Amino acid sequence: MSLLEAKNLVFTYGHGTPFVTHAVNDVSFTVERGEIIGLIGHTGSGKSTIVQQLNGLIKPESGEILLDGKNIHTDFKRIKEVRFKIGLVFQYPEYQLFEETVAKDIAYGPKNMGLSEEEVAERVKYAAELVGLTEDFMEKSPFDLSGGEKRRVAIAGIIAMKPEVLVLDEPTAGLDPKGRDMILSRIKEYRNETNAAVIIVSHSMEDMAKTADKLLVMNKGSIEKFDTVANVFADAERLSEIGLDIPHVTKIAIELNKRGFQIPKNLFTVEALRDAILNCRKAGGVNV
Amino acid sequence: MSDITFGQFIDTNSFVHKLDPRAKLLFLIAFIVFIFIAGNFISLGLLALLLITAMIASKIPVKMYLKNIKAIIPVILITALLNVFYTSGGKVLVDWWIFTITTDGIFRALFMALRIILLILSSAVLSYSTSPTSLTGAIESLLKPLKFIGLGGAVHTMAMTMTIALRFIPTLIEETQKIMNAQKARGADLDSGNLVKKVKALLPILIPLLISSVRRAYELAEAMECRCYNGGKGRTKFRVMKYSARDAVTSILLCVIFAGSVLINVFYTQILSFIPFI
Ligand SMILES: Nc1ncnc2c1ncn2[C@@H]1O[C@H](COP(=O)(O)OP(=O)(O)O)[C@@H](O)[C@H]1O
Ligand SMILES: [Mg+2]
Repeated sequence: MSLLEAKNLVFTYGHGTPFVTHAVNDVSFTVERGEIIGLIGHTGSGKSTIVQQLNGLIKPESGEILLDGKNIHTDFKRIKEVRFKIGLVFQYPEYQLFEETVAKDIAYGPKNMGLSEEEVAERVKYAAELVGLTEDFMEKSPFDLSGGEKRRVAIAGIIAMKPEVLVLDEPTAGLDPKGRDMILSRIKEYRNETNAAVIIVSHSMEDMAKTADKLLVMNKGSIEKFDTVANVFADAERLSEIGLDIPHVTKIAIELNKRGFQIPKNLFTVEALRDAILNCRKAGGVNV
Repeated sequence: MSDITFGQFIDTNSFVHKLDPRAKLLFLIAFIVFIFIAGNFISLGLLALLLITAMIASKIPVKMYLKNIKAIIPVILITALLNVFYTSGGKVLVDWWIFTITTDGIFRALFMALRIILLILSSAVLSYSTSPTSLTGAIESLLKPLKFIGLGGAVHTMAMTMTIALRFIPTLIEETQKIMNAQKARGADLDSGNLVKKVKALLPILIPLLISSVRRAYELAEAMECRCYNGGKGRTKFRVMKYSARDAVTSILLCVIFAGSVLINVFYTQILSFIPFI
């Protein structure tokens, strides 16, 4: 049994008004423990709508979400518990900070879980350390921090709930490359330590190629592809067609392939391309 | 939350949409005045007919109008009930304990209900068919004479404040929804508990909302200054409002109908004597 399963999700905004948007159309996928899934798609392709359905913030019009095989909507009282198990970090989560100190803000989630004070304190410490916030941050006001630091506080607020599925909506939006790599490596760290499943929403192929195990590619509310990173990149041209920016490395590989070099088109790391070029040189004696 | 239709402009580009917003605003004010002048069902019925024509001409789905009425059903009910019990005269229908219901009471209750419904629907026609920007533009233009008593700058500032406020209502609603969802994702419980608990539960929503509003205000002020905004002096309009033939025709038509409703009021008893059934 899969940890999380989405079955034939359908969602429409603006029912009964002149502004109807079919945001999600018959979307099904499964998530296993320990997997990092990159949810990728053009702006407006329905990514945020899907992740808000996963923890029951919005109810699918039809279709169901199964956590450990149980529909999350069968028991109304259980929904809060579901939200602790499927931790959702919203886009720009720093706008939800409200407490006087960083420590108190991170503690908000665990407190709502009804944990003991020691347990809460321990989780706050764990989450803060995981996202790389040192001790001297804890008593600062979250509003005095830089954008990247605020973002890490907000993510720690969800990690402190120790969710079995960590879902992040565009966690790197608006950050500089260093901040981006930092956040992504911390998320990976959480997966490694807890074997939780992780779903990262992104529109950067470059980031997801580096971080994810599998990619769920959305196009206009429907699933375009759901496969391993290598298999998805096998058809990189199609990805460009639906408005996604493929990594530079992949672009180079495709161009070389077009020009007759024996180089696969689905490469997405610099190392893989280097090896492919070296192999090609050895095999064909081409002077690259 | 998303049921709030206030300030929700639906562009169907109909005849009503194309009317001069200043004219529309004056029409609405006049209409409301005449609703209150109308003292009987016949003159109110005439006004209702006019409103229905405007609603049809606006090409906006009836559902959108009904939503407005649904929202004020409690107000209508309370007003109607008060009128039923506090009006005497006519035939007594029920007389029980301290309650007396008379035919006059019933008529009066229905009459007041109809008045409120007309009031709401007529405002809805204006807000559905006029963008908030043109509405405040209309107010600014209509208040222009105030500059003769030295309030010209204040009129512009007020109109600008209103435009901005209206512009940000949907944004604020959306933002509230988002923050609520974000805190719910952290297990916030917004519905249960006693009053103190409920108010405390609101803090995680109100604080971020307040902070982002202040931030937004600063950003907007800076953006406006960067585009050399310095008040109303010498500003021209991108959309110039024009009172056209369309507006003139509508104005004449409305004057006739309003005059008709007043005449009906004045000659009500004579009219009644022509209709033997009532
Ligand atoms: N609250 C909302 N009301 C109406 N339409 C919405 C709302 N949220 C999103 N949409 C629409 O639904 C579609 C999918 O949006 P979203 O899930 O936010 O996409 P993404 O996160 O991939 O950019 C878009 O066309 C968007 O305009
Ligand atoms: Mg989104």
